[in-house]
Amino acid sequence: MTKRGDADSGRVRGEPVPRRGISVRSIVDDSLLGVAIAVAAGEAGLDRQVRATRIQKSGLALAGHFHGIDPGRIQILGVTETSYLTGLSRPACETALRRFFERDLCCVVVTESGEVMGEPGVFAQTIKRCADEAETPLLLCPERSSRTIISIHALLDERLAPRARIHGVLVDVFEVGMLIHGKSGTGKSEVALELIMRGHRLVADDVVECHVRPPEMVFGEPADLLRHHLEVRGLGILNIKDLFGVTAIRDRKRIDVVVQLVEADADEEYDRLGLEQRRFEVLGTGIPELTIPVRPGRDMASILEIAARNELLKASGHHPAREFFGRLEGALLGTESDTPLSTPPPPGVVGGRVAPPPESSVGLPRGASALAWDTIDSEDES
Amino acid sequence: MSDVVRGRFTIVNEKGMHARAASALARLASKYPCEISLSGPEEAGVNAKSVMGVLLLCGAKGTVIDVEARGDDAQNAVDAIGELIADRFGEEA
Repeated sequence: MTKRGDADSGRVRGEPVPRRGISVRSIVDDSLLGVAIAVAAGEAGLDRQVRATRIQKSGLALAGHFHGIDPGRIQILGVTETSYLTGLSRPACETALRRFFERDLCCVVVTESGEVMGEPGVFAQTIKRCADEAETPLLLCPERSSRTIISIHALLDERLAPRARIHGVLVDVFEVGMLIHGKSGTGKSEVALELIMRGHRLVADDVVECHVRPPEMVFGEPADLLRHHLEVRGLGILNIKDLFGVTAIRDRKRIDVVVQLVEADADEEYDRLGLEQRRFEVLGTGIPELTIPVRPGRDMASILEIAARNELLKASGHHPAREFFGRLEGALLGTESDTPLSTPPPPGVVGGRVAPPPESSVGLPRGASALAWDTIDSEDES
Repeated sequence: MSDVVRGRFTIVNEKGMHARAASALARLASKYPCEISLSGPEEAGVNAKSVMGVLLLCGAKGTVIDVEARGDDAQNAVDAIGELIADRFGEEA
């Protein structure tokens, strides 16, 4: 229900939110749901909460084996289940359904409902009555179970994703989702504006709604009210879509890197080598983090653009800093080697998966070897 | 340093926390070194120092706003925000 985030802080962000739920009513009404679902009975229970992103095929529960049935999960009665129930005698069918509905289920969906619910048979009557008595919504979907389940899963993944709110600006720079983070007044919005002027795209200013897609994707989007807007001190609130057009905005982006803007401090040690791999935690998911000191006259937008290019390189299996130091190591040890990439993993890796280091340049795209300054392969140049 | 000061205030002016009021609040909050977050009935944990964040609260008249300040001068910050809200953001009579 409540979204939790934090203000401008350098602490661990986005405490895990208590397991939220969404009401059955909101699922039925959701425009994102790709299949048509109708409520057939049990309307009184439409405010029951679905708390899990995965459905359950009720299966053996109908035969009285209730182990593992989770009332917070949507129960699906597919052809297997309905054929079993319609094959039972009237009392047996009633008993099975009554005991099933006694479990306080959030809702029950009958798939391929056209045939089995269309004719007013024992099954159709009984299940409706049981649903009404238990005040459990009974939903009908004409589609096959497989399709229904995919649609429901997609919707629940979206709506039940753990959320947090982060104070910062999210921009899409060369398709790299870059979250600019830092204290008020460090010039986050100004840098974002400069990036937009260079053709990059604004996702969210100031308030970034984050949701996590396990195992390690974090998406950011703007709060509805603030969509397409950017606040710049001295100018006020700007509508980026009106000023720059649709190519300057984007509604959602995966966050690939977090850039911390900090006031330049002579005592502070910054990463001078590019070997550090720090992580910014959002709801337990680590995102690579860079800390960049801000000084007057420093062209932050260019630095961030380069940071994005560097991220793209890393994503394609290149780690420029590690490759450089690999070569340096090779030179120091006096070994002749094109690919002395035996650098140990960088310190400071906290949890999470780190992009696999390029073990070797074999298999890298053409042109990659041009970066190797100590090898000139004339055949490769042609 | 990590003292947390909380305050709860009700929006009393007719127009509620409109744009000008929000900017007055954000400007006031920015004067203090501490971190200040605001929570309303619908939105929690927005940064008081940003106009966008404060606008997000959509504080109409009668809305109860929770202020939480952490860090240096937190008490003064919360008091000042309380005063500004009670003072109808210095606008209406």
